[in-house]
Amino acid sequence: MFEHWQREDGCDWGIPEVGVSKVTGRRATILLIDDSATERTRAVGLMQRQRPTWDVLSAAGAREGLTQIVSNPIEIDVVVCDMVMPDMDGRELLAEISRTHPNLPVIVISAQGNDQIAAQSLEMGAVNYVPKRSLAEGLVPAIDEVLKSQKELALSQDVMRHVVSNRAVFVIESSLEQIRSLVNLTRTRLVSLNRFNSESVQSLTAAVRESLLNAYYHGCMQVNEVPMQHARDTYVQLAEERRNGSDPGNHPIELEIQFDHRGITFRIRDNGPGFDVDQTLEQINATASDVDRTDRGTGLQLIHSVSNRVEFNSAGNEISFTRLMDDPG
Amino acid sequence: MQGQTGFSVLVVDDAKTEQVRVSGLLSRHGPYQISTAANGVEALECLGRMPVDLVLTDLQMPEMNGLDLVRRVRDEYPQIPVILMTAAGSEEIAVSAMQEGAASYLSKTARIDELLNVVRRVLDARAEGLVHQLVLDKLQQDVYELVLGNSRLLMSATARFLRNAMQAMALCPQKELVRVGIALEEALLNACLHGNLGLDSRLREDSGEVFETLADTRSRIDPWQGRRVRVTAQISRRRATVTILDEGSGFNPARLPDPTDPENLLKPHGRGVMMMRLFMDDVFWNETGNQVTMIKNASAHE
Repeated sequence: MFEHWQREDGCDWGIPEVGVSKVTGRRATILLIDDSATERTRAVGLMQRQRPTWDVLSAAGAREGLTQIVSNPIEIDVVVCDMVMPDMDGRELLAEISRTHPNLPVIVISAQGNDQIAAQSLEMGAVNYVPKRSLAEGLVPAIDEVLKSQKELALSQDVMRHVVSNRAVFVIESSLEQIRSLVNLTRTRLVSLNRFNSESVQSLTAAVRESLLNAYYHGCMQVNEVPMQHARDTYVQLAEERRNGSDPGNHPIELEIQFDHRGITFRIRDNGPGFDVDQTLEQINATASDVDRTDRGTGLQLIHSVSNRVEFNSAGNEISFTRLMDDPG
Repeated sequence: MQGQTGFSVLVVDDAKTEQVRVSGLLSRHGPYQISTAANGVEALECLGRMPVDLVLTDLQMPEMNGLDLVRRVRDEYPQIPVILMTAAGSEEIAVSAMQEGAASYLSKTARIDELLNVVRRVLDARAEGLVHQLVLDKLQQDVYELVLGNSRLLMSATARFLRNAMQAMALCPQKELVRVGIALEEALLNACLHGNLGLDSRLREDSGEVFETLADTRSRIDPWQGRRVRVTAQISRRRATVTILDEGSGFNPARLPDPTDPENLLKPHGRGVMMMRLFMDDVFWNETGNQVTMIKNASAHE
């Protein structure tokens, strides 16, 4: 009955041990980055006294810290860093970490009493700010809080690993703003599935964007040229001309994302008149098979390049494309 | 924002000169329509009367200071961002403000271009946030299939995961969602403990620790370790249906002790099922008793 489902090792009932993360099975690891040796000793000592189960690592500067983050086989859970350092200042470090490790939380500490630095670092993505004069009472609670929400995140990622299939349906209005937002949502869902590398996530998201924009321009705005044959600019201009004086009204656009062990399928449908699929499909496929990756050209080429299968319904107002799981793409 | 001719900004400061200074700056350098208030209380009155896109507030004010205003706006008008401004620099306040929900923090001596930049950045983020929320509300259906091993942590994490999915559909108010989460967790634990691991819940009455140890032991050896819990959850804006199937031999729910009988109230046996029935709109089993289906309908006033 359950044969083809994944089996996993080590899935036991579990009696929790103190100090060990049950999900990951390892101790919390903190990386401290500060160019002052005295400061490092103080902060590390503080953490080790109050939380003996933590693994505390340290680095003398931003570059050394970054190297540790990238190359340390044990994953680092939280970074604590001084804002002012000689080789790369705290802001650059924050920017770099949020670029390469967006899920790695950073707590900023600083000896300089500067409100602007505090607000800026929080705005730039630091999760908390502890002034050095409050280090003794403030640092460990701040780290505790972050570890707690990290654990919750890890748990929900763990659940996602056990999802064998998911089907989500969105119905938005014909609005460029909503399309942009839906594309971002799609990217987020693809990332949380954790089954595709970031390049695939990017290209699949781009294909969804193409399909949604096509639904908007051809379906809702009814620019009734054969879709995705020319560069988007042509259609945008046509749409602008059409829009002047006429209200596009509310034409719903539907996006379905269907995922299982075989692969992922996106289905986009609008309620426009569609196009004559029989007559033009040959033409479309002829162009699509002639894939020239240097040409920015047509949306359909992009969709073909990321998919194993592309289909239209007979009315011509619905496209679905599939990416198989084992395909390296 | 599409179709909008300008932004409505509320400037809150007890010093008239400051009100005039900031208002003048903003209205000269952007599409901003300014209103003013002298303290937090007045500010809240304004927010209640007219649509405001952004609040800029001083920290030290009589009646209600800036930090309290930040909290109140966060609670009562979560869509409206607040920027805290102050003459006295103190990073603790900046941090508190941000953590209490202020969108940003500015010094009163900040340069004009910095003030304008922050204001524009915050307004852009707000516009994007509003559309994001709008599109989240466009989710019509979310259907999941999961296959789970026998882990206590995984069961409670899955219950929370499904509850969050229902929350994304705005199925019912928070309080009800918490109870739904409890019902889900009970059902999942039952599927593991009584279904897959074949443990009689009467065992729990005697010694909780013995029960837990036995559960853990069995979960690591055959035939129990290979058994899985299969969950199907269909969630729409009107209804959530969750089906949980285990590989145990099943049971007869009719033979559970009556949980409303005062004698049985404190017994773990059957209490889980009672909670499932209380918190979900409908609960039923298949004939074997190894598959339970629970239904929660959207709240009437939603």
